[in-house]
Amino acid sequence: MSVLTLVIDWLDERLPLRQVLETLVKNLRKPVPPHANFLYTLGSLALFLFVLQAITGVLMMIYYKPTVRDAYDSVYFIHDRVPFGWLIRQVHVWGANLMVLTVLLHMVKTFVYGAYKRPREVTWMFGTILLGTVFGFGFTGYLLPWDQLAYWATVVGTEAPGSMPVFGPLVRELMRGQTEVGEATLGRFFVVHVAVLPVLFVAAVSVHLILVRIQGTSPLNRTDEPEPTWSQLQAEGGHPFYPNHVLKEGIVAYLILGLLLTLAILYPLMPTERADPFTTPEGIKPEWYFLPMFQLLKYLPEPIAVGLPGLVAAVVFLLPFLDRSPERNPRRRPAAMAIAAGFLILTLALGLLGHVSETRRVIFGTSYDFSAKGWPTPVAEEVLE
Amino acid sequence: MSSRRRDLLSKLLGSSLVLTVAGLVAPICAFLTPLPDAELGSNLFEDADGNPIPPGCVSEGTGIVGRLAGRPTLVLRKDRRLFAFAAVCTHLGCVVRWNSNRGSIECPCHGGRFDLEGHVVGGPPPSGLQTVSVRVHEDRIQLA
Repeated sequence: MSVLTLVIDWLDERLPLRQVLETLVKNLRKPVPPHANFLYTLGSLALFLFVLQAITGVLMMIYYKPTVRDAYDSVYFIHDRVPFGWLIRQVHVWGANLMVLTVLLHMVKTFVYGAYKRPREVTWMFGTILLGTVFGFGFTGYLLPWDQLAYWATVVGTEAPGSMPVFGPLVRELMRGQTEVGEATLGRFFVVHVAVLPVLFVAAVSVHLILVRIQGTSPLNRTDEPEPTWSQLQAEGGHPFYPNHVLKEGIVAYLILGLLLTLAILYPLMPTERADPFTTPEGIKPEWYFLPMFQLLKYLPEPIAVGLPGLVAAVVFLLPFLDRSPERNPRRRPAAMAIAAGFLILTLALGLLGHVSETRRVIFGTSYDFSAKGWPTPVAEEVLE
Repeated sequence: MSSRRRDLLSKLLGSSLVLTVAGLVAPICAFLTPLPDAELGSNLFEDADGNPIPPGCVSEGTGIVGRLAGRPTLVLRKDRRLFAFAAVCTHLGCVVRWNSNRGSIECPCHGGRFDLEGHVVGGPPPSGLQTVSVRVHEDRIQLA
């Protein structure tokens, strides 16, 4: 009898370990429907990126100092003095961006293939909670280097919710920990970034994953038809999750790791100058995934511009209960696809306007100044000279 | 697919995985390697808060423990000369101090005593204190 069997036997006497293992193995072998293409690896890719974020984040915490006096210098210390500190930090910064992108694409894919519908509503809701934590990671992490851009993006980002009726000012004070963005804000953002959100994320992702594995990958048939059985899936040409689909996930993770390292090495993202609470720089901008919301603030009165994303979040969270159609196949849900495409185009357009706003760009040989609202004005020749 | 080709592919896959993991673990190990003490501290003689201790603070017959190049260092003045020693006792790591009455460096933990050349003159320390060469430059005590 091997040592491993002895250990398992010993544990099995105390908890139903074999039963748990058998269920696990059985669920790993469950066939994935044949329509599960490479888009079905986005979820595991997000998890892979999270693990990378956790490792690089923990490493940086060794040298990072969350105080107004030391934060900025400690980030440069990591970058310049600690062996491979630059690599660890760049992988964290680029990894964060790739992770937000991955999670968003994962959500779009889940929407398109109708996988949020009965009986997978809870999985979807935990998914939206995870998206919320990822945004939270981005928002809090952005401030930590304590540079100008991040400081002022945080001023705007915490000021905006303050315009909500009744609870607004309270929310703002809770986020800032003081009237202005300062020492207390940095402390709070740091704790939320490295302690609160990781715990929330791991808890939510555990439920999400257990549900995904137990319920299996969503089929494409109607929700009022029975889900295909194991043998039906096999007959349709579905391959087992392990090893076939896991191999696919491994390939994608590998390629993205290569991309991540390439971006980290060739295109380092450095903090701007040290935060100065008395000088607002021109053209402050948040991270790209907050640009649509940021731009919305420029067009609409504050309470509406702040309330609208909240409304969108609520609709997305409750989507499985709002969309009552039993169809999963995207070809049979033209209205849902049209609404989603419209929403995506609108969001991307807002993001693009936010991106070009308050910049000067040359388009087809003519220079344009883009206003805060993103409208172009040709620059007069004499100004350019 | 023939079994030889399958074997070769498995071996290639396995070794590239091992290489990848090694490639990720190596920078992490380098990152975790402690930095040299000098990297964390300056080459000026400083107090615990990182403020430089000017030579004027070390008056005749007194000794001050501060930090130099990241390590606790005892700087003392006797017969108008500055002496500096690594202040960590070679016995069990306590920080030594200057006893001006007895004219010797003493460890408060187990009574180890050292002379002005750092040699053990009493108590349990197995070896003497390392001397540190310092100089005064622009009203600062610094590593020579």
